[in-house]
Amino acid sequence: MALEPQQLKNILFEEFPGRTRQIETLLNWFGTPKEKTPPTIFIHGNRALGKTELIKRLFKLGFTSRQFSFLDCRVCYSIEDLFEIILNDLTGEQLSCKSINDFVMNLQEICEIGSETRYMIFDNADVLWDLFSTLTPALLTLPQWIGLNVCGIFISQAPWEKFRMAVGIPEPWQLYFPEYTRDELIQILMKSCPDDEDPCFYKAFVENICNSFYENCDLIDFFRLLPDLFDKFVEPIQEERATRNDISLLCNELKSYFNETLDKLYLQDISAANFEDQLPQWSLYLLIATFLGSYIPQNLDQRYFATKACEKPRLPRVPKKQKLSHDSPAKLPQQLKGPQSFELERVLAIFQSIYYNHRNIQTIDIHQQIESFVAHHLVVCTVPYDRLGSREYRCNVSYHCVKQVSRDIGFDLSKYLDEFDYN
Amino acid sequence: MDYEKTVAKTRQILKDRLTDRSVPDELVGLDEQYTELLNYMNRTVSLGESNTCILIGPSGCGKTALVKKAIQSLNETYNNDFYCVNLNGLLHTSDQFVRYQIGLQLGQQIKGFRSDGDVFNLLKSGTSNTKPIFIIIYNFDAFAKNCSQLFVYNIFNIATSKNCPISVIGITRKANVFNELAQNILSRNSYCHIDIDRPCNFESFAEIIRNCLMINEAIFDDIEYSQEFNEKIEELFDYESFYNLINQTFNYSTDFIRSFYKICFDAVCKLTIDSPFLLPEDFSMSTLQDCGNIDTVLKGLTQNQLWLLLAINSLDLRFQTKTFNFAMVYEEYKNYMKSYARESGSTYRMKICKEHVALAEFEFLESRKILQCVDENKFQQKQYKMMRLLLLPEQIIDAINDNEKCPTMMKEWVNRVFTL
Repeated sequence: MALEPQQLKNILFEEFPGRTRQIETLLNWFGTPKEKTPPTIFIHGNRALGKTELIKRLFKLGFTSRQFSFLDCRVCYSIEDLFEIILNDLTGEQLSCKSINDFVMNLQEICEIGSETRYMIFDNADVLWDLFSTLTPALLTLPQWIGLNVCGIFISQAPWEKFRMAVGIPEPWQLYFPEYTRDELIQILMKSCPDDEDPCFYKAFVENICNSFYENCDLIDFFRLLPDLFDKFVEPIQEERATRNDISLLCNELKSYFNETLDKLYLQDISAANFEDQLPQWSLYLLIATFLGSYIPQNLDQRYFATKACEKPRLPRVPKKQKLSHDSPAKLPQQLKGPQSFELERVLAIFQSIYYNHRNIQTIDIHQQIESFVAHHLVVCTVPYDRLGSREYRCNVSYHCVKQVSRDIGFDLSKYLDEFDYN
Repeated sequence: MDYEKTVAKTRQILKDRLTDRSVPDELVGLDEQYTELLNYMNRTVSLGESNTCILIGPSGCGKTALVKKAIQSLNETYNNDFYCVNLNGLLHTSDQFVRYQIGLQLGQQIKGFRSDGDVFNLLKSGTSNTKPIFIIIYNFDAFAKNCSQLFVYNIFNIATSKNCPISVIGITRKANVFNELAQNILSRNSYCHIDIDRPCNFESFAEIIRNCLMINEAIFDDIEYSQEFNEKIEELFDYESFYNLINQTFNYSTDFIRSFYKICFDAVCKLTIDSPFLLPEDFSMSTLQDCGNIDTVLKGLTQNQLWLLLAINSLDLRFQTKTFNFAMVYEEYKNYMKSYARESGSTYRMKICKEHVALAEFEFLESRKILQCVDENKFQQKQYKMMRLLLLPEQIIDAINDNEKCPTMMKEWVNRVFTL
């Protein structure tokens, strides 16, 4: 059941601190149900600023179910799905729709039934570009083109400038969601206060956190951080080392956890699956060989991998001064450019050089092992399969992983990578 | 109650106009073009002449309004004795869609086309005695690009052949549209084109605004209200703040008519029974400032993200590379942090952003379209994916300098890059 405009406004103001202006603008634009709205509205702002939540809530409270369709473009990524879901939302019937042509006709029929505005909301609208090149311009033109009371709302993190790719797209009405100020942020975070907690005490905690993390975290991060940190915050009280009035002491104690929690924020540091147990030792050497082959430039091969007999006496190196001028830009270290591709023969040579027992390994086994590396994406084949002749490969394993492996098998990697200032 | 209805009606009418859903009553400064177009269309209807004509002009100059108005006027003169097929290049993006639309819009007896040939035969079958057809193609440049060349050629061919009264009207913003058409299409083109420009002086712009906000007294029951409403609109132009607003929009906006419509739209939304007239304080620039462009995005970045941007900037200057990957950027960042600590001699341990956190921030920049992947298809580890910056170096520097929260370390890097 749709709410009265004033009631709706009050609820939204209460639920979304710091978004008063945006709510007012949107409600003004929408007006009464039968009035014309702007044909397209483009909502844009950083992540975690309440764009999607606000729109979802506004439509849930203020509109009835057949008036709008909410679509997350990340969830529905085929054109037929997209059209059918919108039509289904607007009519409640399962209509089949194969192309934009059908879609427009269906939409026209729907709009002729009543004069209320129909809304099509596209969340994560930037994904639409990847779907089909003519789709986004078509959807942006559509509301204006059919001239009926349809409003397209596009929510995106990328600014409009990145959407203006085709000539002739009508400029939408734009609404920008700015960053929260510190006070607004505290207001929002206070909503996470546990029921049995004293709000004043919790507020002191939240303020303390905001002071330290305001620069670096957005709302998503905060909500992820808070429960853990709050447990730590009240720990001294539970251990009866402090009382609830010793806020400054509690804050001081908490500081020692900050770095640790920040590191945990993005749990991308998942260590690679340990394949050491599953592979014979020589294969691990082979993997290291592929890594060396990818990161050591070919012209240094002789220096690192040549057998003693043909090693030339090394000349004392004259330290070169790096000159920085605009005529000759400095050169980037090789390893920063990422792994280079290598030929199989080269890796075989490196392998023979670093693995003491290589005579016992059949070449066919090595070939097979490389192929299985490729299958597991530890090594990538850089030459298309259909090309005969020399195959080229590139190592796809990170330095950290190789370091771990070499430590486990007792191989001194630093001997070969001494030029790398890579930690 | 009646009064409330009147206000609601006013609001509705003005909203229709401001969202381009109704045609303005009067076209300001386009009389010449209007007569030309009307003459030309008139010849098709009255004499059965077939022709092509392209309307070229920037957005918001009144191309669509011009055509719609001409059709309206022909409707009145000839009592609907012609067909009109509307196509949009951005919407009808393939031969099949266009074929289907033509069939649909021409009526029932010709439904269910099997092939292009049927459409062409149908269009060709007209004689000077049959009803004339106007094919109006919006976004003509996109139409010519998306549909196959032969299809476009055939449509033009029919439109310039002698006996059937078909006229093609293309509407486009691209001034160089003729250069992009294939030679055989050009040979079937009658080279009739009408150039339309936005109003070039302030007076006609003000006139457009006035026309757009005035309501037609005849259609209102409450004459008193509508008269007072129109008087208030006249008064608006006497206020300095309103005058300045128009002036500002006219001088600083590219698509100034549409921009001003947006300002008006906000004001019109505020029409209620309590404030039934448009007042100068309802109009404000803030609507347009809501358009978050790339600079506002930069203002919202966190410090770690700004550090990465600075590192990219420094890479560009030091190594003159336009493409970079995460490993390079992170290395550059770390080096700077270390050298800063060394030079300043501070014993304070510098807080360097951890690699995986930085990588997450880097990916975030990519999702905001600040960075773009150079070669999407190449399978590569995240750290080594080559990227390109979609900003100018100046934009980064401005963002840092304007941001009060940035530490001095950051600002110093900006300066140091420049002294290198």
